[in-house]
Amino acid sequence: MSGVALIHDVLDAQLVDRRQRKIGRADSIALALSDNAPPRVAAILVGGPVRAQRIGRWAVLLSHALRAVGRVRHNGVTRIPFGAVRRIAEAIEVDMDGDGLEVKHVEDWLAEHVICRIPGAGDERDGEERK
Amino acid sequence: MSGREVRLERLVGRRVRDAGGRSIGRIEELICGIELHEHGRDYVVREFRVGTFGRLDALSGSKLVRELLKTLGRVSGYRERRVGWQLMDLGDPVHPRLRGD
Repeated sequence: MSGVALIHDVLDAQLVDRRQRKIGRADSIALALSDNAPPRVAAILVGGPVRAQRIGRWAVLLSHALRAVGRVRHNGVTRIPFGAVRRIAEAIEVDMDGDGLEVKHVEDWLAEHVICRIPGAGDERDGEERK
Repeated sequence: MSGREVRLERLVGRRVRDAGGRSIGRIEELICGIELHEHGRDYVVREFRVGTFGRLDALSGSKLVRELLKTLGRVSGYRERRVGWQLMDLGDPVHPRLRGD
């Protein structure tokens, strides 16, 4: 039977928006169950808290702690309706704009507050200018 | 069970039992297809792949071990069974069961 293998083809796959920008990985998949109908693939879930739930309780606690310390207001979970999936290949293309997604806010926050403080984590253009 | 939602990772690795309570293996993969309807399209699960490792089943709780045993194939007694969605009872997703005999 041909079809999409959810674990092999979708789970943990790279997601790109309609402008081919990376917007995270498929951390989980939500299935809608109903009587006398096949389970429907409802949504792809993206975000640290979702991944933490897959790892275990200690990761969930760590995730909560980090959010509390960082005073992150967003819940960090993006729900992408599976109907928005355009193409499933090496990356999964979704018909959405990455800028409006919750996961982008978290990424921006991390870039601004954490990544930029790592020595050598400058913009690629800085390096080119120095050359 | 109408209108319930379950995460994929809650199903994967769960032991599936038949109507008589015997284990037939663990859920390893879900295969879905497109269902077209008036309002658009849905991806729906058509088939569950249930793998069994015979006597080594007790060791196969971890994904890493399952993949390793699958690779070893014949030596481990690995068998894969394809179960259509109609036969899988997910009333309790933590304890999936086969419908009928």
